[in-house]
Amino acid sequence: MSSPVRHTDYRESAPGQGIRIRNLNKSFGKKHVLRDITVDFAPDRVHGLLGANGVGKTTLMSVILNHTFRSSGEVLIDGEDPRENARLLERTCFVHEDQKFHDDDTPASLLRILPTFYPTWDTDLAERLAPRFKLPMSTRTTKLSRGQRSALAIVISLAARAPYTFMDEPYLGLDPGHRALFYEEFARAMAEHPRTVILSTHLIDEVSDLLENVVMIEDGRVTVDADIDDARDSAFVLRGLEPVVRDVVGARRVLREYRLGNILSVTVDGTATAEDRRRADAANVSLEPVTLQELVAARGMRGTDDAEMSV
Amino acid sequence: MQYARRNLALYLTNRLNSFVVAPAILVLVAILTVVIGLIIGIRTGLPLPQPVQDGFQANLAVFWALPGFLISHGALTANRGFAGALAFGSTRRNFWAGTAMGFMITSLVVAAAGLVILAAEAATGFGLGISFLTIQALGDGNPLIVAVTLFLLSLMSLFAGMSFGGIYRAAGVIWTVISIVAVVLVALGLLAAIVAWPDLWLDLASELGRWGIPLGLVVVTLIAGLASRAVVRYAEI
Amino acid sequence: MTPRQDGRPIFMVLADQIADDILQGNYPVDSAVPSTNELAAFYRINPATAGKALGRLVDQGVVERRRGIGTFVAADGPDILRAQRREAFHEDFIQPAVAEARRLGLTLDDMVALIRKVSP
Repeated sequence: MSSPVRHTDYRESAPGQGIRIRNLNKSFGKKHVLRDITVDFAPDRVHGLLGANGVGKTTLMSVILNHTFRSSGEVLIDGEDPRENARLLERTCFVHEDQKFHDDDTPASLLRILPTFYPTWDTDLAERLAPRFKLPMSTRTTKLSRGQRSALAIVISLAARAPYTFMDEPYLGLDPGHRALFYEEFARAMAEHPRTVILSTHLIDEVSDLLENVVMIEDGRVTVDADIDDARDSAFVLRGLEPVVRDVVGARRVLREYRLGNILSVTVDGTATAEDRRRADAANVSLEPVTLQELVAARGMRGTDDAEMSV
Repeated sequence: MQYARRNLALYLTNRLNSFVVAPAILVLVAILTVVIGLIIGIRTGLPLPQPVQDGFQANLAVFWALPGFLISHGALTANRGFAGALAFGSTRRNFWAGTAMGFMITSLVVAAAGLVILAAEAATGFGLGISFLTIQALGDGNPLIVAVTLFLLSLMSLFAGMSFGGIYRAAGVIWTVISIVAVVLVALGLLAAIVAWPDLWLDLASELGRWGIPLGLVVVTLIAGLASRAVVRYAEI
Repeated sequence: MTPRQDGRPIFMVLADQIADDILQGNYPVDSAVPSTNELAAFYRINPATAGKALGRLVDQGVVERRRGIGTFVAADGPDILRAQRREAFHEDFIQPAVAEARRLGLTLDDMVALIRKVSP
């Protein structure tokens, strides 16, 4: 942090228009990976792209940037089609989870060349982060461990300061200490230089505090697209004796339930009201907010017939 | 242009493959040629007798030595370098343009290395009448023909490799194999045509004179270059 | 590290934590509280969340923004907080304590005795 009491609106820079996706489809042969995706990623926010492995998170990010070709539909970034759009694409950065580089490339050679790709490249940040993540600067990228490759991707993604930054499971292979370091540096980078980030993750609760918006993909479809606080308000958990819990739930939809002896724990769709709290309290039923992980798991358990849900 | 230059810079960070390996191969094959000459010389005595010297005049080692590495380097560039360029926000078009500039630089380095070897060869005859670049196919060691031919041979190989690498990224391994087989078949067909109608080709060669091979390479390099450009546009990560 | 005990929105918990620090005198009147950026990096949370926490305290008049310098504890910030907490004391502490006492079978006299033990 350059100045401890610097007081600037953290969204000082002129915001872009974000990413607008309409009816996006992607098939690999007969496999329909993305189905009619329609979603907006608001500018200068951190979006969590959630969902189980293999539901199309990586494909969606690749297709947005035209790294992989779409089958049909529309993608606009800052109101423009990104395909072969040099002026727009230089504002993007997406180091893939299995990113390939030239055989001889080392972290040092890449960090040396990247300022030519990004007018916004932050050399100081790169030089500060690389040793913090213990990145071996002169080891070939092909010889880096999983964690070291993640560290390299993190350094590049944060130092590029690209207005549209895509990160795919960025913490893979990092030990807990370096994961915590990533969360800290990520939060600092977003605070100092806000940008639009799409971050795919399955470590939901660990990352959730960094997110402002969550988009959940299930079976190639968007099933949740909400502000993170709204998403957390979209369900709640009741725990207590089964008949009493059932009574409090009433006619509302149960997303998921667990049983432990006589105790029933249910995740209920909808927002808990003051009346719910009063009744739960009176009946010795605990009422707790849903964690994001539980929410994603609970919504994911349901079929896709009623998948289009607004929260 | 600035977008293409970024990709040129990205290509050139890979210094070993961009600048060193191809000239090193050239030097290595030159040394190998000398060693072979010396081994023959153990039997025939040195300097080599005239028929053997004539045989070296038809030595095409240089044409076999370079393409292998350069094709694989071109293919890897289209494969791995491509992935890096897109990650860093490049378009496919600019990746191709910047990389094509890089290929030209690598080819210039090869041509320059060829001239250095040629100069050494001309100054010493390698002492024994062994020829590596002073061969009929290179205008009997005409420096301009040597430089132009080596430049085109390198560029053609790099573009061809990039085309195969691009096909791999765009269409997968099966189509890569099919395209390699197709190119080999076309080459074999040409060879068969040369064997079948030698007079036709000899006439053509005498018409074009010593520049026949460079001219042929220009045509093939152009085709390979255009093919690589077309293919990279359809490559995916 | 994460400032969340009970699943309330993080920004509310964070605002309460800063308020605690103000009440305890860790941030005296007229001193600067941490900036949005510092809070975000320290707690590893989204800057918007950190901004919301500060915004909540600004809205309550506990801290005030001084343009271009930072956010400072307002002159009557501690008083505002104390008034708020007195109001919330019944709901936040007494009600749960009574509910728990009932579950344990403690009488009102038992509770009074327990309170006397802490604060004679």
